[in-house]
Amino acid sequence: MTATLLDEKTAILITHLTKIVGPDGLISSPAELMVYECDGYTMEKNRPEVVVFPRCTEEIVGVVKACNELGVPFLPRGSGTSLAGGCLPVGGGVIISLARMRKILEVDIRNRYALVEPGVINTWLTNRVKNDGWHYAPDPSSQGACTIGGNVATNSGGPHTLKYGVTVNHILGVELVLPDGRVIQIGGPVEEAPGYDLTGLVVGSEGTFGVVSKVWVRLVRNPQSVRTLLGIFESVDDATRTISEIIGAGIVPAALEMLDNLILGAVEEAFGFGFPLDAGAVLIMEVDGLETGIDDEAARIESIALKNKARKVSRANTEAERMLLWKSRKQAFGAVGRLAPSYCTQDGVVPRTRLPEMLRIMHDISKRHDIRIANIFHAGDGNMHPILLFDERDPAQVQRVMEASHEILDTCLKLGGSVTGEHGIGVEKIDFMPKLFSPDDLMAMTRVRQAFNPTGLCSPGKMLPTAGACSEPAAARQLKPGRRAPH
Amino acid sequence: MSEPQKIDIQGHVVTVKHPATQEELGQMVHAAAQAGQAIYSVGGATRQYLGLPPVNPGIGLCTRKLDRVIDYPARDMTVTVELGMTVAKLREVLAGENQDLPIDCPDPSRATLGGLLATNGSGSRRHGYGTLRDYLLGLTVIDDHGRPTKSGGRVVKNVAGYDMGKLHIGALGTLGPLVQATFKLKPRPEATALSLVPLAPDQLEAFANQMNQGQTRPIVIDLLSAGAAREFARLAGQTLPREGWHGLVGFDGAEMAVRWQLQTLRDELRSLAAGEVLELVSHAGAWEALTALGGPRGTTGLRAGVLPGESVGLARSLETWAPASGVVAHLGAGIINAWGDPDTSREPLLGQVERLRHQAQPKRLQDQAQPKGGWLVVTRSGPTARDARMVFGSARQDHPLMAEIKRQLDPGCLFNPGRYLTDL
Repeated sequence: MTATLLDEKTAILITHLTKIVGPDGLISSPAELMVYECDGYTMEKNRPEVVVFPRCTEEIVGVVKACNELGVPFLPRGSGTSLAGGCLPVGGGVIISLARMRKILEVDIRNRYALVEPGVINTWLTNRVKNDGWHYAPDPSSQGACTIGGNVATNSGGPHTLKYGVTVNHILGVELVLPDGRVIQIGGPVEEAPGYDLTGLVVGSEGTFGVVSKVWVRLVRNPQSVRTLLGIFESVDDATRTISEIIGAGIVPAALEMLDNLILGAVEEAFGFGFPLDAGAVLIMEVDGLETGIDDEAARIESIALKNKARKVSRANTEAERMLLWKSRKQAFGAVGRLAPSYCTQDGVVPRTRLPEMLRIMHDISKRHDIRIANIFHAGDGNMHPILLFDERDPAQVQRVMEASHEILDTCLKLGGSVTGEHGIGVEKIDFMPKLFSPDDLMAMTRVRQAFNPTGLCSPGKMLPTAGACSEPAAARQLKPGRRAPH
Repeated sequence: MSEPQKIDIQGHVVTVKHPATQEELGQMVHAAAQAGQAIYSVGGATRQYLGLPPVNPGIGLCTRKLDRVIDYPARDMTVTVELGMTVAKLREVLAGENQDLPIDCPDPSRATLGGLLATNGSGSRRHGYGTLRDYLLGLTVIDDHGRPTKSGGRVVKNVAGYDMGKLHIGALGTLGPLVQATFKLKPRPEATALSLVPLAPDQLEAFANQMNQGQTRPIVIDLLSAGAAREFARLAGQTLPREGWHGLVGFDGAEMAVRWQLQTLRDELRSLAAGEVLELVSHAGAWEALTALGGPRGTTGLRAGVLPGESVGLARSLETWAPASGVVAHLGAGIINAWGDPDTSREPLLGQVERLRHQAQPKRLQDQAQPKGGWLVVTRSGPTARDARMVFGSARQDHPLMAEIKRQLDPGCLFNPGRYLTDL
């Protein structure tokens, strides 16, 4: 296709879309579109032709129908905080940004649910209900920026999912604009209506089943009491053994988070919490529940940590101290810029008892590839977020980062784990899918995608290696250096 | 145990095969597919009364011989097992490590894990522990070519690929036989307690509201009608101090915390209780009795879902719906089970059910063209013939999508044809 023809097609597209969302409801100039070339995974980029900002379900329907008429691929996007390229417009086309659909439509404490638009920022909902003593449990570290619609797409986790479960455990239903423009309600505030659990299937489908336009979420009562402990360890090994032992003792903490020495330095510089800079690792250990008995549980955790050679275990004495500790944890990624110009975060999972082994192997991978790796992660779930530090201006480093990343993920698989605990497959990890699943497994998933998205126009090139009929054009493929995993 | 060669599924007698391995089961599916025979999945056959009768001739495939523990890394708190294993056997294996899969299942020594998944079994503890969708980490099913297909994995957190497992929970086996799964586990609590609180008929709403805002954190918040309370007491070997409606509140956890909650509940409900509160502390028999209440009783069984705040209203209607009735309402979730011996000579069961179904709609949604709320399913219907309308009610908005998924995964309509919603 020549450039002129392409431009003509884009011009028709823009005319169509402007009629639906108005001139202030879309952007199409290259400078404005740059923001939408990628999400938090910046190794691969591709520019959409247009980004639209619908304000209601009907406008989403209009956009989706226009894309169908013109045969243009489209995909939904929240805040773009995802980390696996889930909202990378692989085939170009239209990004449907849900940023203007950010109303909390209903809060029903008596019936334990809220109805929100997909662009509502995760933390807004908890802020809205906290004075009533309730909260929305999934708390990804990016919760101050990420949207609930995005959380639904990736089945997001967060530190407190160890006890409270991930996003899917808190979603009661969705309104979905199907890839052909039909609108359906799946599930809803009443639980377990007869029929297949399509809600459970849509959560985590990474935008490949349509555009979620409303979400019914479960609200959870706040615990009566919380105790937050900080364990300081000489080595990562001691810290991971502590984690294993806490879980093995039948204690279900509300959160168990680990930060290693490298990330501690950056976090300390950014937030000044008072972390000891010579520690090998620290563990944030939190228990919650009834006031009665909670100190006993905290004491058990403390004694397990001390038995595993913790240098010191201290408690957050005030709510302000606790909030600062969590801020240091949740905003740690923001502090990584102090360590290197670029970083790439991985999302591997291993059975929690294999964590010590995995961290030793990771240390070795870091040395062999000469790439520094900082570790900060949901230790209680076995879900690691190694942060590979590099300078993207140096192609040799980029290459080594890709190789080290793949080696880390391969090791996770070898130890019986997964390549993604909460970030998703996106485009980044598509090549791992055949390592995780047999061709028959993938075929079953493809068949289900066919039911929702038969033309493949909705979010092509995601999740499954044999993704939809509208496969990636050559131009898009060229924009993905090093995407293929070394075999 | 000798395995039955025939099974009666809602009046249709089906020959049953008993594959010894997943591979053999796959071969049998393949052969049946080639021969154009339908496949009816059978586990412990404890809940074959659910859904509708078979429509096509076919064979029964029983999974009971598939009952191996594949992997039990206890310190990871996960277990991978074959799904012909009975719920009781899994409990026994897990008890050795002081762990549990906290999903209530009546008749656990016969019911299989596959059947529990296919019927999405749950009971009173769902308020505190959730349901199977919160525990299933990975699942292997046999597809329409007889091949094993898996989704999910064996770790507690994993978002690789579509979560196909969710699709099979409660699908009554219509998307293929379930053969292997990985479950997340919980530690067994140190102590438990059940508190049975007699309630005057005009205090039911007050009880429900209080339980939604009290200081305690129960794992069970049930409302039992007089008939259900009587049945519970009988099964638990207890004498009820008083007839009538009862609140049933359950706690577990550290002993100190359980004791504190019992005391706090007593204080909070002092003005509500209509008589002596019966407290059953660490009483295994009482929990078994509560679980057993979810089993079949009476000639006819109903199961309904409403907004939690509307469950008392529907529970009342269900209590007066039929003679010899019993109603157990899980107030936290808004899920209600009822049984009774309805008189169908004056009004056919369908009419009675449709009336109740209308009441199951949330009040403020009743006037909407597309009902978005409550539902009511006829679990058992005694002598009355079953059809989709009577058993499940009218189709919902997402039904065409479900039918399309069924067409994709089972184009030859091999798996349990006719037994679930129309076209599934």
